[in-house]
Amino acid sequence: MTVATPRQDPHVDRPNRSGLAEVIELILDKGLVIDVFVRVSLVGIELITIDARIVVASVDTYLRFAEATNRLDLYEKGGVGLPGLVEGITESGARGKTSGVLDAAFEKVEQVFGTENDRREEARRRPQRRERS
Amino acid sequence: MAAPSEGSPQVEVACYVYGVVPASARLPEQLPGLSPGGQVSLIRTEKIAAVVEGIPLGRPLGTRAHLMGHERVLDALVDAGIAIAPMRFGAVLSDEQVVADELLTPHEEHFTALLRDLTGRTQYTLTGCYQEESVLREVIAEYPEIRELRHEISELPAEQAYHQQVRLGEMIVGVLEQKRRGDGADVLDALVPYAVDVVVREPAQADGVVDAAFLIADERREEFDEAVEECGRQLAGRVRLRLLGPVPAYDFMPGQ
Repeated sequence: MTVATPRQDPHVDRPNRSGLAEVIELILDKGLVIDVFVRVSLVGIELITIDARIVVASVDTYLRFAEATNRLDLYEKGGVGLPGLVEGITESGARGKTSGVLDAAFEKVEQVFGTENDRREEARRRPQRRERS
Repeated sequence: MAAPSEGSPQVEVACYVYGVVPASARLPEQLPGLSPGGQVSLIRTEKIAAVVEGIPLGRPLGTRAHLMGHERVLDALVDAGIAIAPMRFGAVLSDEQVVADELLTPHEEHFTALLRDLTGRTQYTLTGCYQEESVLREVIAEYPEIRELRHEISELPAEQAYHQQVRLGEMIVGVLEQKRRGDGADVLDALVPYAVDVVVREPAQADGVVDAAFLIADERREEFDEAVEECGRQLAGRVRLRLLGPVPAYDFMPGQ
């Protein structure tokens, strides 16, 4: 069923579906929510998912751009070490399924960058819903 | 119909629900599920069926193997040409009787209509991001204040430049957002005509150009694929596009 036209020098990546980060996000964030249909006989089962991935991504991206820009050899200047903040957040985020850690991380991002996006709300809500059992 | 369970007070095994398909669907053979040795099966009512697997309780869900298993089962159904309404990962009901009595039977009309809309259609997800080096050169060439800040940072010891670094990154991200509005809209304009439906998201990453899910009828897959390729050709060197699919129509489920 897959479109598998072999191409000479394709201009688009057509990755194999399996195990991709973007598929994982679809699975976790999209699709029908069973609570909408069934209220009585839900089984509470603990879900381990990494909501902090979103927080990590935004700080990480800013610093990655800053660094990459500095690395460009237009001015022949060497690279700069990665500051500690992002490492700290990454570490706690990777383990953090408690919303306390997440909220702290969100506040940190807001303080430093003053950014707001809609995924943030979604991520903040989700752990609470999942804690219900 | 499912065999009635004896409803023991302590449930040791629960019923993981992957999604809902038409009752006429036949599962592909050799369909490994979430757990090792897990048996994926159908629980049918008259018009629809739930794709389920018995899973042991008491262990958390969400390991890499679980996620891969969920994905593999749904992808196999898509590849078999079966219309499927996918559940979000982690849908667990107490037993098969509950799946039939509380999930399927009361919502049979709803699911039937949903599956009718999905028949012969699958989702493709298109993402695109700027190619870092070429777009950064563009940004630096176009914005003198970014050039100046870069120069300032280059004169500072690394450990004193943190705030300037963040500021520089933030400025660049702002410029990329402006660029995205133009480039992203061009891609969408070119592809929307091929789709039954489209869900556009803000790209999650700052270097994102486009992030959209397209619901594509089977007979237009090739045309759509060609059109995506043409977009890639036009953006070559600046933007890299990734086309993922076909996948279940995750983004087209109601209630998102």
